[in-house]
Amino acid sequence: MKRKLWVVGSVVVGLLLVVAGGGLALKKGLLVRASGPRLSELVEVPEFDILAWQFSREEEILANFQADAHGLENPFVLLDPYEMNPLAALVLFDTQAPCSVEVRVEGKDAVSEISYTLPEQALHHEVPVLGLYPGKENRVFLTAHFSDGASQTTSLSIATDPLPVDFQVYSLVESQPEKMEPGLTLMIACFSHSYTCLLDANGDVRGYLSRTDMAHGTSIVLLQNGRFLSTGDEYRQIPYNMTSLWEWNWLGKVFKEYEVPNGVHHDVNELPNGDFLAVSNHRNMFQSGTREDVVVVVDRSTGRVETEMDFRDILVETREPYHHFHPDILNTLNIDWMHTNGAILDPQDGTYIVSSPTQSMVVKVDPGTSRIVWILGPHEGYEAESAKLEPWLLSPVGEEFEWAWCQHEPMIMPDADGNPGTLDLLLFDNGQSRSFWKEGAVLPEHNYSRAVVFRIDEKNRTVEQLWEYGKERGSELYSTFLGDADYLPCTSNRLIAFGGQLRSEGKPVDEIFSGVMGTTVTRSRVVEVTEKGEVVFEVAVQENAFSSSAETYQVERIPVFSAGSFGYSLGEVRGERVGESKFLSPATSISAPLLFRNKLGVCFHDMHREGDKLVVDGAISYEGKTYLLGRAFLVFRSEKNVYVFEANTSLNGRFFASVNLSDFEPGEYMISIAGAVREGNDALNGEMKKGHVLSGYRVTLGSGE
Amino acid sequence: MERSKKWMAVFLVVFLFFVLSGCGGDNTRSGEGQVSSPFWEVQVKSWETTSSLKSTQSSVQYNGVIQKVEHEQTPSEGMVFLLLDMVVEKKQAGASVFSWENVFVEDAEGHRFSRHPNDSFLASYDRQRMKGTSLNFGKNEGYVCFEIPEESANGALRLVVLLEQQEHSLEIQ
Repeated sequence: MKRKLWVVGSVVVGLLLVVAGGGLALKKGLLVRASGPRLSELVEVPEFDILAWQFSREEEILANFQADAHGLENPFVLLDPYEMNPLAALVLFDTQAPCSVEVRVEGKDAVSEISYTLPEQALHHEVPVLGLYPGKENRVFLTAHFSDGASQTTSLSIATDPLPVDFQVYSLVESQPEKMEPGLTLMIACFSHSYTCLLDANGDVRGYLSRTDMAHGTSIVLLQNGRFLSTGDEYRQIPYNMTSLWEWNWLGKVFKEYEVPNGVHHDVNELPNGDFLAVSNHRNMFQSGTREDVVVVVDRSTGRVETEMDFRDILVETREPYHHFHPDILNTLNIDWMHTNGAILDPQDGTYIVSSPTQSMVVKVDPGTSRIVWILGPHEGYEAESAKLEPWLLSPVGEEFEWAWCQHEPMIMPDADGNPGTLDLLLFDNGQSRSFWKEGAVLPEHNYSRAVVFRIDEKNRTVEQLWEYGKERGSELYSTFLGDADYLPCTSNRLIAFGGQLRSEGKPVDEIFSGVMGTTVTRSRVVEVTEKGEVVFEVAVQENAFSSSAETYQVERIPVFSAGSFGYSLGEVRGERVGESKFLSPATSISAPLLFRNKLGVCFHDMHREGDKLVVDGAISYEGKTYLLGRAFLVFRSEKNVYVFEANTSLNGRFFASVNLSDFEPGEYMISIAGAVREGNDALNGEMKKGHVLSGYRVTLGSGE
Repeated sequence: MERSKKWMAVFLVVFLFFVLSGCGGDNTRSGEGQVSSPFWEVQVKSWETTSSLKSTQSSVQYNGVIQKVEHEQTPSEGMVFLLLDMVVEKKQAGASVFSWENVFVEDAEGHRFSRHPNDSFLASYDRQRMKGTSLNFGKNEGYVCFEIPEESANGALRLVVLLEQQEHSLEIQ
């Protein structure tokens, strides 16, 4: 009996010891400890800073060039020097006497030949060759023009790789080059699974951005200095909201990165003083409750956001007549009530003209007072609080008039009537549903999209329709979302992107979210028409076996070459980073988990360091399944310290993080991901499934001790 | 006892058959070999032969449903793909250019095969592709694809690289 008691007692004590030991181990974090063996199995987060990388590459190019003598007869030829545009090359050589250099890329025919001149008389030459064809031995002629009138020509053969197999397919429908605006057509993709590219008058690709993580879903702007401005490669939020702007040329050299803490999406424009007017968000967009409802001005020299115009203070955010950009989420945390897709300056009076497609509203605002000047848009849906906006609504005049619905890209036309009291505005009218209400909605198979010019009488607050193109093409060109319409100054033509044609078995549908996620085919059509409506250029863009996305967010006609964009020498200009990073704040809602629970899965699209900045783009899943809603946290654990940050979470488990590592104590940190996915589509209710997994990465700071 | 010996012998024969025949299907090998010249170092990290490349593309819909699209790339009839995972690194600055025209796979009969003229499909089958244009400098990594006859794939194979007018070769099978 006594012995039995001993045994039972021993067992109980043993169990208590095990439980106490386990509890202590758990409490001390021993089960998730950043131990030496565990750390040694992790991969150090790679360092990559595109500005530093490009500069070191330039030095490498120069070292190879300088190792031998290269004249015009044996130049050093390098395809795609910055690994950004595979259809561009850099040719280096020296000449005995100063000369300018003429470049001629042989085309399929006379209209597709590309030629330009680097005017500077120099002895050392770094010649960009732009506009090569893909998958071809390109014939390129370089002619040196010397000051004494003599010239010397050499021909090169530059082979290029074929286009990637997932490249969207371009089919030329119409081309009358003699009637077209000069230049190449810049086709801007919206999503990161499509390519932004340059087309010639034959519809052939003559340049493209192989980095699809940059320059999508937002305008690409030709700046006054000849360089281009687009979004950079770090996400603020899918599918196009980015954290920075890049200033670059078509060789791929990035001259300047502007970090915009509010994020940038849809539209950016250069103001006359060089600053940028950009469509943006509240600085703390993940805490503010809304998104895409702020316009900012970015100081060109400092990169700082100098002005923030929050449209929640100007319009009425509760006026949400149509939910077309929202999937069926209840209690959404980041309401996209405005979805601002355009902001331009009216240079006549310094006001801003801002486009909100979800509101079917183009609004002119005085940036000094934030007062509304007028609102262009259908008069439906101004009830309750939004009724206060009615006094600014423009009234239609004239018989031929239709409102624009879910419009894109307003652009001010040249003054045609000599009346300073009127403003002619070109925009792309997607025409989505042509009503806010289901009862009045036009079905996609009966709908149409168009480019339209409105004349606005600002004093009398009236609007008249002057011109349109697209309605006569019916549903063939119907584009539920995306799109652009540009006035072309040399010819007065209009270049129109019917940018997001959602198609199911060839028929038009309005499934925007499905198109964004790549599960419904998105095609597009780019058309250049004369003022009289004659089509002088038309290209159809279609999907391929590897991608259902063939959208064209915007389109521009741009010069092939701009000297200002290439006025630098290799190894002399290191890209500059200005502005302000927006880092995550330490999480307050959870503490670091003390156990690993491996039902959660994580994968990474990107994980790298730019010095003390850690950039993460990942996705969580649970038991191998993706959930619409979820949250992710980054846990950094060393022997001595632990830090937790809540990532900026997106749909389908995608999350983004930018972490300031300079705030950490030195040490070797293992990175794990804690997270939860939510059953159902209610952002605030529903069962949460939690987990905590190692990321596979570690980051070493300081000595690593 | 006799019976178990018999079974062991059968097992051994079957085991050896599969080992020697590579299970009768696609081959994958890893192992490093390299050739070099004053300017270039060429390394084959691993190789594989396959009669088709397959991948499943998953598109996640917002309701959590994953739509799957199957892709398949096949070589010409009677041929197989030979995929080499390579590193081509320039060791010394200079004008020397690494051209894929100077790279061949040679079979036991001495037949030479050039790199596939357009193996850009590799990127869509989870393989980082080495660019197909000339290389001027730096460390270049990725897969390249050759199409070779099925019977060649069963025999000895070597990679032949012409570097600065000199032929180098590397046994890959």
